[in-house]
Amino acid sequence: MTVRAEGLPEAAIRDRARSGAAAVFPALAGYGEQVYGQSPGWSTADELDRTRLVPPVFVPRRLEKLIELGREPLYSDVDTRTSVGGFTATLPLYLSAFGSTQLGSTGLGVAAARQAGELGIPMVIGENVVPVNGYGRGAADAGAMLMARVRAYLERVPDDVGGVVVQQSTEDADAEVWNLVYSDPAVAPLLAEGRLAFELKVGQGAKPGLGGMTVLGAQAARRVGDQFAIDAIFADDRVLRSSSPGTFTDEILRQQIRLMRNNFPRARVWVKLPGARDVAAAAAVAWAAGADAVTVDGAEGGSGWAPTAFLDTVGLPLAECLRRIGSPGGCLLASGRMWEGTRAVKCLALGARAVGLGRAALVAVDEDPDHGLVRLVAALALEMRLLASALGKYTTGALDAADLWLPGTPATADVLPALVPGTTPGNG
Amino acid sequence: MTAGFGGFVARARAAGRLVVQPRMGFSDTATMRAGLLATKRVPATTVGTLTLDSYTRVNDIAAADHALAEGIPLNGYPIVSYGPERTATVLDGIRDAGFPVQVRHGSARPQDIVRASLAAGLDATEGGPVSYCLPYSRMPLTDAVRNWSHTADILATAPNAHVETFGGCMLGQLCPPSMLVALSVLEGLFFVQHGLRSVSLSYAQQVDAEQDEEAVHALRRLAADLLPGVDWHVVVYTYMGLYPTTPHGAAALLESSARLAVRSGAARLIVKTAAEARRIPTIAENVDALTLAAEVAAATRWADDEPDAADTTVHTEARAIVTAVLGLAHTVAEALPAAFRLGYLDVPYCLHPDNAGRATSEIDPTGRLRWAATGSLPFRARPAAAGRGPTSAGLLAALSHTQRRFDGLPATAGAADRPVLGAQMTITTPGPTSTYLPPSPPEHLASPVTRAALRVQQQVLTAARSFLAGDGFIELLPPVIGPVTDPGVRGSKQLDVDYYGHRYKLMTSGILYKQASLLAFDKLFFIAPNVRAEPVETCNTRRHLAEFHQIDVEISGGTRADARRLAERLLVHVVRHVLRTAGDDLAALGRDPVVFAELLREPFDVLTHAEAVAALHDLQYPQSTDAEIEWEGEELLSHKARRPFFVTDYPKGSRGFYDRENPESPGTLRNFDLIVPGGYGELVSGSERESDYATIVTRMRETGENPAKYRWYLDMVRDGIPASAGFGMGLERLTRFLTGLDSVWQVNAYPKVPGLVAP
Repeated sequence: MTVRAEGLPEAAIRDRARSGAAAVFPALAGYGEQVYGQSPGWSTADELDRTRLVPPVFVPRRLEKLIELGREPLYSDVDTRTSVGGFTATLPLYLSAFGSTQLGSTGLGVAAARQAGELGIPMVIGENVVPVNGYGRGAADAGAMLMARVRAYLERVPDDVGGVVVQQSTEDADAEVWNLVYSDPAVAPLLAEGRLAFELKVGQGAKPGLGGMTVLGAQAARRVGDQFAIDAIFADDRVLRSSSPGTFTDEILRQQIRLMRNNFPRARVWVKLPGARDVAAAAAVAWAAGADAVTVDGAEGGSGWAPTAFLDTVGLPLAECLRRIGSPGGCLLASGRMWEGTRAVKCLALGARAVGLGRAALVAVDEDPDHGLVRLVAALALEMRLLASALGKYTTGALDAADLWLPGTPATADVLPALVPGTTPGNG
Repeated sequence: MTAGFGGFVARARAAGRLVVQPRMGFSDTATMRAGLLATKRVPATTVGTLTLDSYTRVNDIAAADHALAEGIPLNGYPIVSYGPERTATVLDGIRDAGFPVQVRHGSARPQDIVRASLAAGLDATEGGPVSYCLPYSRMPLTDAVRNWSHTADILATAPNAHVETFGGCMLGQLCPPSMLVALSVLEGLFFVQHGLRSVSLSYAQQVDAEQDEEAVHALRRLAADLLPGVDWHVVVYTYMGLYPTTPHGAAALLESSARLAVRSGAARLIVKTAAEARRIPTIAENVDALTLAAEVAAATRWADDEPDAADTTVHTEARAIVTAVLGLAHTVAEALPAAFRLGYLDVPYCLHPDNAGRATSEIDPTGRLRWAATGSLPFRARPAAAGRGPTSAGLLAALSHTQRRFDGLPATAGAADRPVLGAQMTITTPGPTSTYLPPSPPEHLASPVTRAALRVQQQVLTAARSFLAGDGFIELLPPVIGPVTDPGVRGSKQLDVDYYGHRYKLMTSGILYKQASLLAFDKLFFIAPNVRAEPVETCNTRRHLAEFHQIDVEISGGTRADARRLAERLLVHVVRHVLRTAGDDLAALGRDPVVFAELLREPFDVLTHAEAVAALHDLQYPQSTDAEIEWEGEELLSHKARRPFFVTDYPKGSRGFYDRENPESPGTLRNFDLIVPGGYGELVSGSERESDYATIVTRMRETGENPAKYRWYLDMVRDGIPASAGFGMGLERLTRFLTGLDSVWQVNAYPKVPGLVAP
């Protein structure tokens, strides 16, 4: 006889009974081949998706453009070039870090870098690329390594656009990723052109409050055992490797940014924040301390590996993060389940300067390592131009909260203060 | 025949006697008088020299007065400070029609010098608007031309005034003869256009005897054409570059210059003593050199009275330059700045901002000095040397070409019998270019520059150790590797070593171990090697080495004021000791001891970081208010300063976690840097240390450090370490400052310049 428990998620209970602590995570079988985010039940139609873009009849900005051009403007007249965290980008886009699982470290990372270069958008290289995969200069071990990505990017990137952002979090201080990169003669041209940034990773949208997580084989685990927490929760001999989330106070964040500016005066400073409840305060501290960009990674953001509970129910969704930040005090970047034009345009309208492509870029280069990302972005860019043009805007910076409507709320004028406190027509 | 200095030389020339002259200057009047008397008594045709001191040269009469009052010896005769009566006493009974005396100075603003000279009846001097500006001063050329125009007008009021152009020297070496000849003629014409009727045109011996003779002939031809009706003669200077180090080599070079003067039809020779460049030569050494030069001249056959009319390369190029320059304006005074602007005049390796710097030179395979690149010079480049111009190694080889050639000569019996002429060097180091990097290790180690610098460094170490030991400090031997090291080093990377499977670090500084050692001793120091893979961008700051040494001091219970005061006393002690014990080497390296006079007056000035930032903003330098002073900014302040100064209270975030935050002024640190003048920049970095466990852990986080890495240190701090203060003084930077060398790598035997792979 089998016990039935209607009203409870019986399958999930049975799974935990079988697997123990391993059931806190998605099925281990997918590790390294899959990227994770909110389960479909939680994520479909989040607030951003439910929000509609609402073109007006009266389009004074289109009149301005008409006067400038001497003809009726078309969607192709939308200027997508923008400044992203101290760099010039051809589109309000950047390539997000892929993290430290095998996925991000295989040839896909290099393929994505090459295409990001071709597109002329900034590229972030993930925090644990160095400690997990090493840092090589020889052609022999090129591929997964940081410099291979940098080289692939530089192969294609036009002279006056783009930039490379190298991420580091607390644990990597041991590997001194930034010092390593900054003193590498190969990056000297990037420094000379002001096209290198360092990103301080405070947290990740998919698992706010947790540090980096990977699953390692027993041998690799022994190698890093003195640097990370190792937990043998899985059925096979693989183990969970966790980093600490790092301790921050406003003063610690402020001083870390100052230190970056001091030690690496010729690199830009980016700061990555998760959907934390004090995201607005943290962003304000970062900008005041001189950060060139603050990236907000909403709860919809992807991850190479994270507990299911965090993926589904922990952290503020992106829309709420942007609402809390309100009118940004500096360059604001946003990421979280970006792949097409509408979400991107909505984020821009909510104050972001650009949006990051993470998992979608990885899937695109997996589909076609030579052109996948370029094609994905071509589609996104066309949608972006069509939408901006429909909204009567001809630069992406001109988008604002008036372009949005959340169904169920009475009217734009009333919605505005709730949606974006601090943003009223006239000061955006 | 003309009276005065010019007339005297003309009469000697007519009688077939070469006039020989020393460069001689002493601040003590009795010594000066003895020197002149000895020169007069040399069995040869001589003229006397009063060489002035460096303060007077730069018109800092107050500093010269102060030094005289303090009894600090000057490096020459302070003619303005002494005034006409005193100078007349020095000259009394020595100067007469048979022994004229010339004033030599090197000033780009010589009006006061010339007035003081004329007041004492000294109407012969030397200089020139270009030759005393470009090599020695950063004064804009137009200002120097204005000053010299004024000076020439003053001189022209004296009936028998004589001026010698210095244009035939320009940097001493590696300026092709055609440019020297052109500048010498142009400066001569400049003086004549200001009303002077008696001039001499200089030419400094270069690297090839035959080419030098061609040059003097060319100079005489041009002078004959351009200075009709004027009393003029040519004066040759014995080689002014890197001098041979062997006695026979030095003697042979002096002899060759005497032969050059006679064979080419010059009238006067300015000799160099063997010791001159290492220190102020003794009177006896001057007498020896004058005697030798006169003997050789007497045994050499004179050139014809008419200059050689062959159209040599030197002549053709020099005439092209002179013609092009004179075509630019009605007067030479107007033409000179324009000619430099256009690059018609362009002195290789001269760093003055008004010099175009597009022309370069090299020594060709036949041993002649020629143009490697002609930039905008007004003649067509010869089929040029292979390659893209000189490499740094090639340049260094060229600088020591003459030295090596003469040192390599067999010692002749004659030379060996002569009085010993020691080594002499005037080292002109090329400037701050990223291509000026160390030569090969054997070449670097064998260089007299390296050897002199290392001898100075030895005295630094001796002085530092005896001073600190005398003050109760114990010297501990520093650790070289450890699980962690000082993270507070901007931008540089730590180097790893595999230590039994653990990743260890090479020490970037001894700070953590200094704090630990306070458990054993209250006052301690290391002289420690440190390794920092500095960013490649520091390779041409001239102050960074990837491997360097520090005099690293810590005082238990000390305050910042204690550490600062100790750094000050240590520096002053070391400088005094080095001046006392390594004067020869400093002189050989061309370092004028006068630059340390201000330093020896303690205490040093103090300004806060905020004040330093404000000073930089006043200089239009965009320095961030909450960051480290940038290297360029620091160098700028250092250039502006006359004496060392401390910068204190750096903002938190600019230094390591161990620099104590000021409880009265949160956000600033109880630390300091010591900056020395002359562009040498930071020499010392120090602070009061943090010793509270919780504060250190928090500060580690603020500086992006993972406290887990510092377990041994934090465990110790948690158990309690003494409060302290201390500093590190960069040994190579200190040695560079003392020697005045261009780059810090020059004072390290095995230099590792950031980004360069070197043994």
